[in-house]
Amino acid sequence: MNRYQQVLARSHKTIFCFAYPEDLTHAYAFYCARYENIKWEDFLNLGFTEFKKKLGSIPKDEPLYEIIKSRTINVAKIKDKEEKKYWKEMKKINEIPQIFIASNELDKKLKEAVINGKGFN
Amino acid sequence: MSKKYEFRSVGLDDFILEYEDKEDEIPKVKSIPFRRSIETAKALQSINAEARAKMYAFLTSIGKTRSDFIIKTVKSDGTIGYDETNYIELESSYTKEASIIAVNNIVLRTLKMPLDKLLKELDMEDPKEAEIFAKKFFTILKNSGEKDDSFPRGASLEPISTSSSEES
Repeated sequence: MNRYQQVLARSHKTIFCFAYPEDLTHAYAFYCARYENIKWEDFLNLGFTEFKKKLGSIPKDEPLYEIIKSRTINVAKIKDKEEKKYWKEMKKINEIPQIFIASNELDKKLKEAVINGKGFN
Repeated sequence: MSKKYEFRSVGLDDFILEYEDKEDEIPKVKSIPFRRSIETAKALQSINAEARAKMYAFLTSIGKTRSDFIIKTVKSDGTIGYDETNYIELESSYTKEASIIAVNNIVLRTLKMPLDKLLKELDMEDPKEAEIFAKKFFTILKNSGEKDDSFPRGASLEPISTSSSEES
């Protein structure tokens, strides 16, 4: 595991969710474009580990790569104003809805919201 | 006493559930092939989402938000703490309910047999034995056999780098 992967593993941040229909659709599109054009039903029947391996080496020119990147990028560290604005928007657009994220991650967000005195619906 | 059963791996994501079937007094081995598929992963990851959707609907109906279930506490030394017990309890009750429904559906989809029928075929009357069976079965479905098993939470992706940014 390289440093980037270690950081991600430690953060337990949900960056892709098979239960989130948007993500699953993007994954299907990625598979069809890159490997073979198959029916949705056949895609769902693909081996999970096998697919994860394919997803693990997703090329940078795939739209799904950009989506995942927008979920992991630390916007605060981007110096260029325009680039910062772009990734901020992308982060918001591609955010995984709360109901799909892991419980511990959600608990952390909730705790932060309460500490900051913000409501959290 | 339940029948002897075994989960055998026949590929990266393909498995066989084998057990003795003694119909007509002639013992024979029954095999049910199944796959750890994207659909199974989707169903497993949907448990929390379905539970939360139901919980939010309930909270909305009573005019509450999740933060209403967190209690602010001030300790004797003045430090402020937050007790999340009520919220965790509430969410876990919904997750348990969603899990029971999901387990039945996943068994039906992967083993092509309703859970109660399968347990009957395995002569599994003891709930503890059924629990052990379910644990073994779901461990297979969840475990992708890779070091980084937290995917998608800690995805095994290539490093993503940009010129002026760093990973969070």
